[in-house]
Amino acid sequence: MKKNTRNRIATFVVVLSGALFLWAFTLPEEPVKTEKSTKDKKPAFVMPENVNKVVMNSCYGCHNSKSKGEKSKKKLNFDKLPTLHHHKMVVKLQDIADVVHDGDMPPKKFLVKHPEKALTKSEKTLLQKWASETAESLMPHHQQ
Amino acid sequence: MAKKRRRLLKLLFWILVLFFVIQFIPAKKPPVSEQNPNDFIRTAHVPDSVAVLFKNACYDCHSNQTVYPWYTYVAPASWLIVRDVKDGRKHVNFSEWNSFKITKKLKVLDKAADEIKSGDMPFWPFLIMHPKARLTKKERKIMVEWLDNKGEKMFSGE
Repeated sequence: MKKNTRNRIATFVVVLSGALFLWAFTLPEEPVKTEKSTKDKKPAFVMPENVNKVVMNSCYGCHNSKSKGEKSKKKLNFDKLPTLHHHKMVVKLQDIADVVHDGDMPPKKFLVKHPEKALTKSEKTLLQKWASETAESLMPHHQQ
Repeated sequence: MAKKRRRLLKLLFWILVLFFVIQFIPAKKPPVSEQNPNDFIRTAHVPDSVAVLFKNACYDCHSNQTVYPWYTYVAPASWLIVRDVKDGRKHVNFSEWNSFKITKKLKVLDKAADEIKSGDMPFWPFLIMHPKARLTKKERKIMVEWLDNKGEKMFSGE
């Protein structure tokens, strides 16, 4: 190809790309969806940072989707908790409050091997309070 | 040969003696009551087709309407039956349903659905002597669906 022709083609391609590039900025923005997507849905409950810390240290290890403990997963799975129907979520939250209050969780056998995961008195109170108050707040008004 | 047989008979004899003696160890049967104003089936408006499943598979251990079979009076079966009925009623007694707070009712519905779905309930030794209590997959599905539905309805205040 002759040098001149090649240069002309190159210039043309550059100018065309530039024009297309600038044109893209003139395109209208994607219209705002009028329907709320599930991602925008308000979460059923919020777990404050201090509660989350306690849960991650003392509970999550057994009570998550990837846990090897079939029984513990079945009883409570923190990964699935926010996705439950409210009438079941309330039950799980109340269960958390109860087992923490009764000292049944974390299990004594488990704590023998992992004493650092034991709940302190203030952690117990924190967790219990959060769980029962959240359960209470989820109950429809006429049920409270 | 004769010695072996004599030994066998001796053993059998002592087993029978033991069996006779254990009949004197008491096992107090939890009482039965057919009149239960707070009964689940009635107060929760369980439809007949679902109610029969609860009655056959659950009510012997989990209600006041226990039906005690003849071997309830024969040890060691008697001890096991008494233990199962006591424990069952302690965990949940469907005859007391309407006296439960709303939160307890929701818990019972949720737990019952879990136990039925997983197949952990009815307790398998019970099923050996109670073929009527055996639930098919379809029957379990029906019960779980009804329980979940009921929980949802109760929660939204119906």
